[in-house]
Amino acid sequence: MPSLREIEKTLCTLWMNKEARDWLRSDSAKKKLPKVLSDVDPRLLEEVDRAGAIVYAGSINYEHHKMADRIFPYCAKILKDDWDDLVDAYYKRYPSSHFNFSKICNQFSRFLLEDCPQLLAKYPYLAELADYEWLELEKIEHEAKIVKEDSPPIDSLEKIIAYYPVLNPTLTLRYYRYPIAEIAEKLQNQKRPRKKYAESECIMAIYRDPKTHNARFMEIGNAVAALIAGAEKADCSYQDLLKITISKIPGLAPEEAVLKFLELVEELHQDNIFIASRQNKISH
Amino acid sequence: MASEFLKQKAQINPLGIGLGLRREMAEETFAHSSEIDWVEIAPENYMDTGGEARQRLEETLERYPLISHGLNLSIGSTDELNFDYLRCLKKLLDEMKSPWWSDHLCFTSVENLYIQDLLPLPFSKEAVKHIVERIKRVQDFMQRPFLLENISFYMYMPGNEMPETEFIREIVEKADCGLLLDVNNVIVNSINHKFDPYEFVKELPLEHVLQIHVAGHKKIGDYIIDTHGAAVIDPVFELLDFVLQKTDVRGIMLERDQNFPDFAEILQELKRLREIAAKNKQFQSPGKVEMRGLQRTNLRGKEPSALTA
Ligand SMILES: [Fe+2]
Repeated sequence: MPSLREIEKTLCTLWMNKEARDWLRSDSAKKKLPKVLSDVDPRLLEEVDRAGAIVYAGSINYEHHKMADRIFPYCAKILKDDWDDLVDAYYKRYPSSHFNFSKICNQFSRFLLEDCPQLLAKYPYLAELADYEWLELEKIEHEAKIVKEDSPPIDSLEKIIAYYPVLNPTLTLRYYRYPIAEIAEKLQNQKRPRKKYAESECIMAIYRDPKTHNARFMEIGNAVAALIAGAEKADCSYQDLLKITISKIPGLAPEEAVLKFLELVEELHQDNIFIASRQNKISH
Repeated sequence: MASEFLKQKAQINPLGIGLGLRREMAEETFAHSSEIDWVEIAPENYMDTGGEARQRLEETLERYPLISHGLNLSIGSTDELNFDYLRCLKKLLDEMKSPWWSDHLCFTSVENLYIQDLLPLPFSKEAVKHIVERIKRVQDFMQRPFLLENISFYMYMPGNEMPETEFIREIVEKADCGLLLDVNNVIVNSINHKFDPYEFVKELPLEHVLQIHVAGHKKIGDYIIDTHGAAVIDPVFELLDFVLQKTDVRGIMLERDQNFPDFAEILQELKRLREIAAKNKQFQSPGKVEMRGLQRTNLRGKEPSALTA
């Protein structure tokens, strides 16, 4: 009598391993037992209800592919007929080890980078596009609660000195090598992106909007990126951020620089990248 | 030895007629609190999750008693119990003040790989012993009445030594836990595996049934599949009626997970459940259990945009 462990392991192989599934669907008398099943007790294999096992193999596979299609519609659109085989290869390389089903795809970008050199030679931006698509789900499900606080507008030098910004806790900055925003926009508008794109840095602030709960993808320039990166550091006041802005936009008169900075800060608040301003401890 | 579970069951207030919470029906579910007594959620959709799902959970808790019906406890797995999962679930149950919680009599993982399907177990003595021991550990950890649901399945596993009813009875009685009887699953299995559903339920430890699931199914190929995506058929309502003549329960709940109809149809099914419950004098001592109370959101909706400096 095979053990419970042997039964569970064997059936999972039959349901999930491609060679084992093919064997299951074939006339087994004629088809050679795949290597992955060679250590299994033959009596156990004989006892398997093949028709039932095929139902499970089909539904498990269907659900796994549906999840990948849902998270990476742009990658799927680019790869068309090659998409399903790639997804199979991914699940084989990174089987789902988390009880939350959607986390099953969290290594896909890494898989493309490390295991798919030929695909990346053809579509150099693909791993970054996969990262962009994955981040959408990650932000939507991010466990942080985004609490917008009532805080005064930052509209004077005094307030720049007295306050510091609170960042949206779901925020991630990405420095993509390829124009991912442009590529994603094309795909969203049902257009096919070009095969090749020259490297051209695309910086994005990616986070969840506290009102709509949707992920937001903001393409930002160097100065704003530096400002947000500065704000990510602990104890970084608006005054420190002003210094960063001045260093990133040289040639501005001091008053102009302050005005530009205040405008930027206001936009960051409006877009919910900054969610509050709190008073510096030292200035009080 | 007297059953601790049955003592607990006697003290649990009836919740009445419930509905599974789905994002697609959440608004209507909230709008019809006079026709829905309580709501059931899949905790995995809300564990360590913020955003819209979190908000939905909080909104539900303001309106309804909430029960957690898990998918990935994997009680039948030969892997070690996943205490990360259990800790996360416990936190959620504490927040929900759920009077009981449930999962399925199946396995969903092996060798630390989550398969994301409810997979059948061999009805063997080894499986009984293994599962009983795990339920006891889980109950010790969770400290809340626990129910196991009979699943629908499309193949008998190798290694069966007893009928499914005996398998269920042995586990439920030896582990001293509750049974979540899914009458649709019984009907689905009775058609696929050709047995009498009434004889089947008569063999079950019905006194341990605390909650009942009702749902719709669909014929796909040679099998009846438990899709939760169709109207409930009469034989399911009739089997419910039969079970309620034999035992008293604390909650009856409609599962609808896809192919969502006009909400009026859902309300009609809930009404029929209520009539069957009333006919069988269920929920005689109605008492709202004090409790407080999320899903994945629409994936598309991104906006590459401005803010360049
Ligand atoms: Fe069910």
